[in-house]
Amino acid sequence: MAKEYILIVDDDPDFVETVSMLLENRGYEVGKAYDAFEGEASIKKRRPDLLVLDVMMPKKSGYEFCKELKANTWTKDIPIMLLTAVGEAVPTTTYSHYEGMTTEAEDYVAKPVDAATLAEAVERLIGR
Amino acid sequence: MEKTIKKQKIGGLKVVEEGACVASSFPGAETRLGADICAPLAQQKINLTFLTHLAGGQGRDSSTVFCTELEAGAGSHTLVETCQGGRGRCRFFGETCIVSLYPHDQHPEITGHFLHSLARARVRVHGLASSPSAISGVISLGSKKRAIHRLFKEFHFPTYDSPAEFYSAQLPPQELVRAVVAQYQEKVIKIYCLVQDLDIDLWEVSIPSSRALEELGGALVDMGGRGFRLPFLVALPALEKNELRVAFGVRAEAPAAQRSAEIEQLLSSHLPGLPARLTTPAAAIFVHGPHFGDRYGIGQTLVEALEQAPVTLLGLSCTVSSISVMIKQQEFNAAVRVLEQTFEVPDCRPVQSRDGDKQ
Repeated sequence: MAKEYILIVDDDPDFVETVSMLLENRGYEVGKAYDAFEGEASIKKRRPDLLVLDVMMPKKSGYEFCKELKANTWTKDIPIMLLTAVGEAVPTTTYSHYEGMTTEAEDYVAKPVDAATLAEAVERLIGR
Repeated sequence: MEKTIKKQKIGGLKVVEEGACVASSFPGAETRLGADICAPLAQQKINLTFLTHLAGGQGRDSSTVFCTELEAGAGSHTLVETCQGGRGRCRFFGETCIVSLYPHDQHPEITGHFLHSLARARVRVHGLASSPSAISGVISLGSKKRAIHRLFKEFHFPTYDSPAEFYSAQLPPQELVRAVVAQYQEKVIKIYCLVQDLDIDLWEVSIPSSRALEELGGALVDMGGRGFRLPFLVALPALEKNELRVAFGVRAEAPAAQRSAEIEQLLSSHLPGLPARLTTPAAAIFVHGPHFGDRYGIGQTLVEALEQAPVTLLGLSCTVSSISVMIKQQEFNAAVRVLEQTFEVPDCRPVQSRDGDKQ
């Protein structure tokens, strides 16, 4: 059986490497991209079963990218998990989890990510 | 006339500005990284955005370079200088930035071109550090544009066609992220992953000029062409001389004698007459995140644990969101044991195919 394919988009290269290791260890196939534009190009080549998407990235934020994907007929059904280091603890931030949810992402996980929480959320979204 | 360079395709480039850098050295093999540098900085809750260390001995000083945010720089310098109590040397560089290129995927040619770019831009390098995915250099803010311009000559970035496009896309202040992650302080520090690499040859050379750094870059490019992997690289100024100490860890499938002969030959063809020192077998341990550069005290926790074990730290590199340490291979089990006792480590092993992922 083909492995489920997960695309990680994050501008922290060590984090991409780490999450990719965590997910490969759990039997998933993983693709990597370091910003939304690279992510977009990657999705055009191969549609992922799940997109793990960082919020704070240069040029185009994860929220913007998420909105675009959800507005596109071909990509709107790709489950998206947002990763955010900006949360309820910092009310002054320009981002919030609430905004994350309004972008119609299926779930979010706060950074620093707990490995078990991430794995559980991935399994839930991918329907394992 | 300059040769036409075949551009390397690379994932991304990041610049962290508004920094300051401190370089320090102690005579001989005296190890003062924990007691005189990491501990006082952690006690003052100073975040380190960059940290590198190379052990001393056999006529060389023990050297350390660290970076902080700009406003904490002068205070950090005074703190470390006071702790040294006149036993070592210490220098402060204000207004610095950290330029990181990723992913290198342990391919020496990526790091080689990075060094070549900095050298060709005639940028003074205060420190170099590798992470599992990135290679970072600390340079003065004033030379940033020159360095970025040169990197765009040697690398192709899928998202940016020009330095101007890169600058216009940069995120607003990093303080937002720092403010969040600095609040996250557990009793036992959680890490994402502990990854090990064995049978590494750790080489060290002293680089006296930009021209020599350019040649070292060329040697690394050639190592890539011969199938070598580069899991570790650091560089620090030798404060007692006007030189840059560069140490790099290489591995290959070939037998130890064969691979060291190949590296020797490559170094002597690019850097004739420059002595190179080899420590083998060495082991690397990569402590993956989270956010080491944004949280004070993590470097201190790691260094203190290893020093108490006791494990001899040959080299340390902390940049992006990971810490890499090089140790003697015979001390590998003790190092892993103490790190697993010190940090909360999830079950995470690199999948086997990663090692077989040859170019």
